[in-house]
Amino acid sequence: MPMWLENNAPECDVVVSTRIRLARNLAKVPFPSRIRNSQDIEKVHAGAKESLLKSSEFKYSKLSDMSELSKRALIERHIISNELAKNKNGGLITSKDESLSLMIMEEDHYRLQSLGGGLSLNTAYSAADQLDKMLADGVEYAFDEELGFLTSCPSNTGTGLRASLMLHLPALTATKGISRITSMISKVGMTVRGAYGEGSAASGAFYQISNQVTLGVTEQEILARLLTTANKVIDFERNTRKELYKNLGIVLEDKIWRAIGILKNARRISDAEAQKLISDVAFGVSLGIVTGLTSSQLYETMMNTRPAIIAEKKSSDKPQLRDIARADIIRDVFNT
Amino acid sequence: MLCDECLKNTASVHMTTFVNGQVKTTHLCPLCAAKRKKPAIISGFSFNDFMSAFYDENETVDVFCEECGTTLVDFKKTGRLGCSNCYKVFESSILPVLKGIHLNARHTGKRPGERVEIDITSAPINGTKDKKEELKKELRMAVSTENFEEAAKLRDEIALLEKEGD
Repeated sequence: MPMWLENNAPECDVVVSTRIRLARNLAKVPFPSRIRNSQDIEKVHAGAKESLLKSSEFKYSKLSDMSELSKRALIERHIISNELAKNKNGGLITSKDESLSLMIMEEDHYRLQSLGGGLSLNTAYSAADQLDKMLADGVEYAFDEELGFLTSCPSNTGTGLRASLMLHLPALTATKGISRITSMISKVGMTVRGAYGEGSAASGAFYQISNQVTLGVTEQEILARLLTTANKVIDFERNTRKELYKNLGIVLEDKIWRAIGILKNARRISDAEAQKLISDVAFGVSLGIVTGLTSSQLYETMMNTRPAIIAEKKSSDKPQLRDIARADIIRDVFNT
Repeated sequence: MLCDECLKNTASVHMTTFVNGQVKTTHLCPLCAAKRKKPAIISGFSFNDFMSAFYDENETVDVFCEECGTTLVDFKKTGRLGCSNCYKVFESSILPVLKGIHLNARHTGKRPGERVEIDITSAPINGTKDKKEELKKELRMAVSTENFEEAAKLRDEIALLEKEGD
């Protein structure tokens, strides 16, 4: 399971994970939306394979060889996008623990991704940068002295760098403070989105914040600005949690203990109910109401119980069986 | 689809015109499109409101990229470019978009094959240090472009920040 969601990651009471994405294209080959001949497509795949598969750490697969179920599970693990899943010409290279990955023939020829647990911008960026160097040593990138890395959409031109933080904001969601956060964040050139990226609705209390500007700023500046913004949101969320507990007291405790009661005993549970209740428990852990469980453990359980991930493990995609398997996994975590 | 004008080449430019209050769509090959001088408006504008702000509704579309076949209409409709060469072909249309999204259209990040060491552990929470550095950068820029009025304003702002910091 996702090893990059390690225990006791920095600021993990609020920050679930860190994601660094770099958009790159080959020089002299049309971008994926305009690529027509199969030799060009092959060139894009070959460039990545030759550069990265030298290391036994990586493995390559073609999207056309994957089952619909494995593609859905990869989407749930945030390794591929919906867009890539639909592309017959797509490819994927992943490291063993999936903390590093490369989407081939998505909107750009290459989308490099590095994932880390908690607030880990330094280490996640450093890993992405290393992957970028490996690829750059083997292929010629589309690069312009004035405009930097050239990408299919002008919103990625320049550094091609998108840094995102997945945040768990139950208190700001409950108090509607989230709308204040959203307007504050957009003023400083960042965006807030749902947990599953562009266009997705914010599911439960999970949000992604990421940089909007990629050109005219250095990688260091992009990450430093995101950190400054994230620190403000983290402080705001933590203070709101304390305020809520001070005002609600036993009402809040009751809500959290009831969630634990269900999670410890349920024999079948839907994805939506599980996500909601585990989110409540994570809230309780951060306030010290619940002990013996960690935030990282809870985030990991949330991911391990997503529909396609369970279905893949159980080799069955029947919703009733999934709900039973989900309850089994959760009882294991909550009763040990 | 064949070109409405010469009926020989493939149409890749699609223009919508208003004739006596009637909407008329014409499909043209790039060659015939280039010959046309009548004003036309771009149809099916779907990229987003942001992009539309950059374009004159009455311009005639007659530019396309020879490398990949993308036309200016394609770019305006989808907001996507077809290849690296499009950046040169549509430069005058792309630059305002880039400046609008990014505020600045000059790459200052790393180059292919370079590695950058990132250390943001000491990033200030209140952003004062960041802001001062940014202002100093702007000041250097203002001086080098001999924009002394702006430079004087920036110098005062920096002095104020330094005073607050003490």
